Amino acid sequence: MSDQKIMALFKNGQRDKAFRQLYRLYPRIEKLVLSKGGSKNDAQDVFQEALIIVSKNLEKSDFKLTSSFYTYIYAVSRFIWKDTQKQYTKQELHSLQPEEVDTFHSILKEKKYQCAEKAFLELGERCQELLQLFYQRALSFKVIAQMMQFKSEKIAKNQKYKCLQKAKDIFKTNYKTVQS
Amino acid sequence: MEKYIQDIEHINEYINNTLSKEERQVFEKQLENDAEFNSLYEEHLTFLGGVERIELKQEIQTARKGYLRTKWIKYLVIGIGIIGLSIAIYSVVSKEDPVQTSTPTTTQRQHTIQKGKDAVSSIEIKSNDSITHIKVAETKDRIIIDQENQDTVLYTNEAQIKNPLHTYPKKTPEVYMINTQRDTVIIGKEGTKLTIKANSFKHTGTDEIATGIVTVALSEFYQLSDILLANLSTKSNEQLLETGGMLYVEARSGEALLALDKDITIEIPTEDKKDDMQLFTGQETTQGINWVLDNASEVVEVDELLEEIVNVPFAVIEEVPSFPECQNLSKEDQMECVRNVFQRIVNRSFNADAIQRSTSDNNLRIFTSFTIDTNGDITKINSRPAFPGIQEEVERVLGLVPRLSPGKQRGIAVNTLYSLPIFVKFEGSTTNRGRDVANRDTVATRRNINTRNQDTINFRTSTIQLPIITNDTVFYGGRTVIEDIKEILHTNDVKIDTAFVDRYENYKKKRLIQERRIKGERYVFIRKAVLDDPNSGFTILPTDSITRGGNVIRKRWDETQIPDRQFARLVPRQPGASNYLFTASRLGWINCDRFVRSNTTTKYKVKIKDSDGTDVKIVFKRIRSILPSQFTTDGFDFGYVPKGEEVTLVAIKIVDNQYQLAIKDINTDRIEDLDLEFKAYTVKALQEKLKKLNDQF
Repeated sequence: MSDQKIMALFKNGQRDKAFRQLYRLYPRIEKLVLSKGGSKNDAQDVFQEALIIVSKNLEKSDFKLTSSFYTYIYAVSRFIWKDTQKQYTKQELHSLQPEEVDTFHSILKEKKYQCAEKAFLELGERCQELLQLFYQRALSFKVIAQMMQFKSEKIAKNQKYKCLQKAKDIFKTNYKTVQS
Repeated sequence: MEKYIQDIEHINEYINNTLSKEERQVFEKQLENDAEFNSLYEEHLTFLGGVERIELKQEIQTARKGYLRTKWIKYLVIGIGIIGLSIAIYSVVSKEDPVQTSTPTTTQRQHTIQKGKDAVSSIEIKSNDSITHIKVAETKDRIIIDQENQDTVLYTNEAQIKNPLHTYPKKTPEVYMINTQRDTVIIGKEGTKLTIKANSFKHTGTDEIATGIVTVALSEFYQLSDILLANLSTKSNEQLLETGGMLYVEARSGEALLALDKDITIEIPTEDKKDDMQLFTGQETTQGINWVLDNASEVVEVDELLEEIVNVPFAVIEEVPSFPECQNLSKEDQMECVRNVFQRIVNRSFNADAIQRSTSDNNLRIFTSFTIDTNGDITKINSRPAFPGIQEEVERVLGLVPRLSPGKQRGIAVNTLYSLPIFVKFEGSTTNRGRDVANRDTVATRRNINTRNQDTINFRTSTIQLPIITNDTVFYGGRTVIEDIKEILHTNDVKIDTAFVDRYENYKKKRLIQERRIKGERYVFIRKAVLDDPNSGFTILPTDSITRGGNVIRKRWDETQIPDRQFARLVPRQPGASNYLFTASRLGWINCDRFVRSNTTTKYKVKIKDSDGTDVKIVFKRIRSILPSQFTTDGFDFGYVPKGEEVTLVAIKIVDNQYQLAIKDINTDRIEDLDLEFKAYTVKALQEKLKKLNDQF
């Protein structure tokens, strides 16, 4: 499948299909990671991260794919691997190309999101479910209250904010320890 | 809290784009001016990013599963495709590759042999006058073609018409089409194995190496009936031979007879291997074939020992492990001497009291085996004990054996495997006796042995009471953990001892060394701890990929880079499993024989009434020998023959175009005057009748 078709899949909201197409590139990324001394698991993590970054960037209106998906994902994966290995030299950072700077920023941003994700996963199951229903499936509190058997819409709403607050608190403490 | 809820709601509205234009402007302005609100906004965005990741990850995981599924389906489809394709290619190739052949018999026929690469097939081929079954088996470097031809060809030679057997149909040779470019192994119907190296044949006269397809015709004369009907005997000039097998081999390129440029090896199967076999070549004379010793060829023992065989059985070792008293003897005597020493020590020292017998069976066999190591010490004693006390006693007794000189193979000390059956005979009645009684008996009998003053020995140990099983040493290639380690080490030039293997197994158990399969390739993952240990034997190689933690991911060498190891194994000799191996420098009539040495010979003649034009031979019963006779006015003269031999006289003549046969058992002590009863047989029936004699030969 051509890159344009994959693009179209992303645009049409058929992200799952697009991911499946992109997964064909996995063996080559795996080779890259293995050649740099990573394990198969490392390769999977790197590839997953790369796909997340690519899909997020594609959703940005100002993003333009200047090369093939493969080249792009390869470049992103290389960065991610280097990042996890903390192998940048100062020189490398100074001589980055503009697109590379973008990629680099995306990775840094994504790292922050990773922390948020971790914080979210530290929440209780009920909190996770509630937040996912609200933010991912964009359901109204009325429906959520019914689904999760809250006594009223208002309780659901209050509960949601409490969960949110908690997640953010966990994130703040985690993020600080990561950064320091 | 209320404010927080309001703010978040506001932010959500902004993100979801549900605010009006003015509201958006207000919001953005607030972001600029209100630092607290701004950080809340950023924080919320981060949180949303995190939540989004969860969703994305789920999608990616489903994509991955789908991908893996399709990958396997793809492999499956490709696999099926390849199989299908190879079948298709095979059938196409086999149709397109006909090889024209002709059999070197007097009648000309055109056969088409169908060959496929790396395939074994059985093809039925119709020729003009008969149906021939041809099995074609082609592997990398050997072709085995077995042709069974039911045709019979009448052999006519005017000069030899006198002998009735010259008109008998010649045994149809097995005909093999071989490619001279390759090494070829031909295995005949009766077990003859010809190993022909590439480019072994040359044209007679021009000495040019024959190329392309060469037809090799092989006739085997192992059965008495075949030998008799081919008018063969075992006589070298005037001396009697004992045969290990006769054959006739010829090679032709087209019609032209070829000669050998390189020696070929010939293996002749035998059930009863005899020493001193030599190679004879046949010369056709008016009286049949005379065998002449071929000095250029030599019958060699099948004794191809290869490197790295650590354990060699006593029976086949080149230099026998020996006691000081057995030195300076011939090899056979040394073996016998060593066996006697073991027997003596066991006889003298084995204490049957130590065995806690729980059976009333008076005969006890202890099959002890042990290794005489490279120092000459006895180790790895295994007595397969049936009762308690046996192993301890065997170990005690063998501990009394003085140190031997180690066995050697090609001058290098090796471990020798020795088996020592101990036969213990308890005396007395078999009816439910207590252990104490049994002990008392054996004590008494032991005294008998030690004092050696009585004729009856009631209890003794022995190595010779058991029938000796003749064993053949079989060498086979195999792979063990040693090859496994060598594949990982990327070298064949390393000595891997038990300690190394133990260490390796231990690393694997602790998962310090792990197998990995990456895209079907075999890798090993070696942890840093192993590499850091200077005694581990594992070091980092230049080709390794090294992970962040200093661990190594290494592609294994494949099996072809580390050759199989050769092991020697003793197997009981199967009838026909043994063979004589020799190299032949000439084709034609070949006979693997030895001279029959007899001190008492006698001139032997037989008179037969009404015997004009009869072929008379005698077949020896004790040895595999056949003697022809010469018709004289004074009867049939066999020349000098060993005295007192039981022989079978076989007389064949032709009367009214029919074969007549007479068989009679006689002894070479008496010169006979026989009145034979001839019976008429057809060609086929004659053969059947003679086949009945095959068993005695």
